[in-house]
Amino acid sequence: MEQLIGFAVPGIPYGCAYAVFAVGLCLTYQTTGVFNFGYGAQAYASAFLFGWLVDYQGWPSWAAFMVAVVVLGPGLGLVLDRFLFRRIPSTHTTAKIVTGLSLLVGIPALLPVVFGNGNVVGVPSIAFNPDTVYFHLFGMALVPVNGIDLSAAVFTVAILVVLVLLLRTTFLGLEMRAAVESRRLVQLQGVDGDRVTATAWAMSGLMAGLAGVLLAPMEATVQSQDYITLMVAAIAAAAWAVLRSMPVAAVVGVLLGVVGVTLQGYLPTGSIWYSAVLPALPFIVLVAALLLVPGLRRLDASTDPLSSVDPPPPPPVARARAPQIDRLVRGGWWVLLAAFVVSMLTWMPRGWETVLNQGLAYSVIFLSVTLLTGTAGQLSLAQATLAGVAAFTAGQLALHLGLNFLVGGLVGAVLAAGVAAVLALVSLRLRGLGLALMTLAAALLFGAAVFSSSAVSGGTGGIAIRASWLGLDLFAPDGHTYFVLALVVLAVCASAVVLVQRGTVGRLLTAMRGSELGAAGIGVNFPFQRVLVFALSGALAGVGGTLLAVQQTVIAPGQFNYQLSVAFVVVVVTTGVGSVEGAIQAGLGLVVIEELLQYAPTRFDGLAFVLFAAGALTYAAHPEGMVELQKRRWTARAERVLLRHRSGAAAPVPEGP
Amino acid sequence: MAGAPSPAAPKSGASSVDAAPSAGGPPILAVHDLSKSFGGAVAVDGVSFGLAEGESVGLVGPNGAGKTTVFACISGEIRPDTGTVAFAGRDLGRMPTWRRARLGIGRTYQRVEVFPELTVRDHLLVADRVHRRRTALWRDLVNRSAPTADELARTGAVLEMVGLGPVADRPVGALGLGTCRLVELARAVVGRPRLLLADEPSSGLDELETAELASVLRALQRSEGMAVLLVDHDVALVEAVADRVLVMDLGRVVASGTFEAVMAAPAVRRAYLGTA
Repeated sequence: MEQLIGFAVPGIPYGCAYAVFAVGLCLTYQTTGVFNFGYGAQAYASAFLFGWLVDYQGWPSWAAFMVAVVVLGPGLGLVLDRFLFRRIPSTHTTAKIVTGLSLLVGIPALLPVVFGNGNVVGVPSIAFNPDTVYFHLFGMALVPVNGIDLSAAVFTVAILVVLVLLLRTTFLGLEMRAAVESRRLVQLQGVDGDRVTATAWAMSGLMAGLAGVLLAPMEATVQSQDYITLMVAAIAAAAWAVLRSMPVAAVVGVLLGVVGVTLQGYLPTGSIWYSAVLPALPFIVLVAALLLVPGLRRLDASTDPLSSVDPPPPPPVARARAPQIDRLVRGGWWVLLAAFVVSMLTWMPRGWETVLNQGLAYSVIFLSVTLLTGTAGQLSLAQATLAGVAAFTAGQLALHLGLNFLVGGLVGAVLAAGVAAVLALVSLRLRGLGLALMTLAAALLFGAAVFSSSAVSGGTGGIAIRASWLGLDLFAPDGHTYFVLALVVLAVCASAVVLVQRGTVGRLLTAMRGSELGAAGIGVNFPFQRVLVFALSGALAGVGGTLLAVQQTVIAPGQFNYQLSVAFVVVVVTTGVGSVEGAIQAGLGLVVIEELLQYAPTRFDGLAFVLFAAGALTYAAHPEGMVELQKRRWTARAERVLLRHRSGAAAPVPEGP
Repeated sequence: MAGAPSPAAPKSGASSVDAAPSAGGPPILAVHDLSKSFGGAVAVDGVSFGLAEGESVGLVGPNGAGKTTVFACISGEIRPDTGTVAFAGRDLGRMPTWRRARLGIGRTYQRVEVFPELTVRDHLLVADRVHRRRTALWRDLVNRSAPTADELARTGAVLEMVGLGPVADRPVGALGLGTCRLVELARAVVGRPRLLLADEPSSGLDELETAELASVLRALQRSEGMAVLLVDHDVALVEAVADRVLVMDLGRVVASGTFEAVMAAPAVRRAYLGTA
């Protein structure tokens, strides 16, 4: 018994950390209607600033706490409300998710740009001394309770009690819950809905900041990775609470931590249970919640009676522009393509050719996002994982069976399509946020239990691709062979996506995105269409993953983790998730910006993701993407100038909302 | 039987109002002892009725009577607690909505369910192709998905019939509510369903548009032999379209018969006015 308790007690701080984050996620969802993927990043920002002020500026802890938690926490919450989430219609689930993901990607990348690359280490505790053993639980010598255990438990209980009382017993709590249903309707009742929601966001920001600073002493260094992983694990606890019941979220969070650490004590260290299943425990719990908790299927059921007043999105500019302009633009694209090909094969410096080749591979992966999210309106956070499935399959087939790597890549793409289809099948009842969480859980499960296995990935170093596996001289120093192959593959994949978008399946997917009920009412087989589009998207990601692996000459787990899946969505949404052009511009744009940043100081390394995240933050106002928006504006100007004196000119391109 | 209103239903057991189809032969739709509760609230309580091929029936009643729940049970959006729904002699059981639609049950919705990004013509094209099973992916991949002359003729005819020709190539998101209702109707009938479930189709339409809608529904019924089950609060529309009227109150069918006879029935006056 003493051994059991001895194993369990060290799990309490981790459990409390899950609980604090899970309660914060529930609080934000309950008071703002947003599942804030950026919550972990907000907590990290406060922890980082707190540690930076203490470590680098020599501030006393209390002063750093006031700035990092009391000022930055609510301040960040207010900024997010005022400039981002307030502008998102209550029914636009995808925009809310994408905005949260942008914060998740953007905030950790922004902090080094502002504060430099220095590590924040040894953050002091604001409560109990971590090194002091305050008492022994039940008087057992094996169960000491130190300052970290104590502060985690005390603050978790205190936070829970305060929040539950606030939401259930105060008028402000009632106003907040009403504003979540419909801010506009609350305003019609004479309540200042903006003030209520701003208060909710400030409170949520304060909670995030407090959680961040409380948890900082648990690790030697304050790293964004720890906070984001913690938050993702906490999602499992929040999911069992249907994102509403904070006491349930707290209990499940604590249990997760305690059970995980206890199992760690009992399981044999060399077993697959220890190496693969244990790290994946929170994600298995999340998948179980998504499959078993009925409330999670109805998360996106909007109750806003005024939702229909939101304007529809403008049509793609390529469909709305005048025929003369359309011919001009299409001609321009062909000229640009020809110039690009000639440049790559003649004068382009080798370094830049390598970079652009990588961009072509990314473009193929991004086409999978275009098809799935842009056309079908389904959000997947596992596209990098699917790319990895194909790449590792090709690697293993080449390694063990001697199969040509490119042929193996096609086999891998089929397998990735199968994995995506299974993912779609098991999540048939989930929509929007539920589906995003399921795909995220799948990505994490693959990362923790499959890609981490050396039998699959060849260990952390990955599988080095040998030139003899390829059949083509793809490793030639000038990069031309790879360029031609990547261009042909991209052209085939892009044509396939365009044909699907313009064809019957594309129309069916657009119909399902507009109204699932209406589509079912005319006989559209929703389960089949969803499985089909997931499979197609998985195959595209797989083909892109194989290309990317060849370009990088190695297949490693780090190339295909869940953070990249999240980043992929953010990047494609920024340029334009609805069009093939958007995917190609995202692929090339990402690598070009990253290459240019090589010339800047190292603190700017993550600036590319900051820029793309900033672009994705405009998704709510411009769901067509920044590039598509600029094209719309330029097209409108061109039509005004070029078609001014022509009779019978087409109607001007709408400017959009 | 259809000529005179049936007596009010008893307080327990299945609805005893004889709401069988007025024409002879097997009914195209047979609803038997349908019940559905949401938590403690009984929305539909032992409702039974039938529709003959080509018959037009109005389902009326005050708000909360259970009309839309009956519709949802017939089209498969909601699974009833008890009772059966049979279409063309086939028990629909747990069949999903999309399969019922492919059997020939068309549907419009109380809250419009259109596809904002598709044009009006695309709405009809999609419905037509689904109905004709012409949705295979390979057609798209070999670029054989452009509308054929036959498809354009079929969709064009329906567009003209409901008066949507002038807006055929406009995205539906840019149209008003009344026009969207017509788009829903056109989309529902382009596949030539054998039964049309029209849920408050006149909501959002003005008097003139409602009259045009009535004539369209009548024309569809006569020319296509389409059975129509109509829910609407617009008494004039129900009178113009329905051969027979069923009145629901508190989840039960309380009267059935011709429009005039039913409107004079005490049970109906009690349901609407609270007095016989």
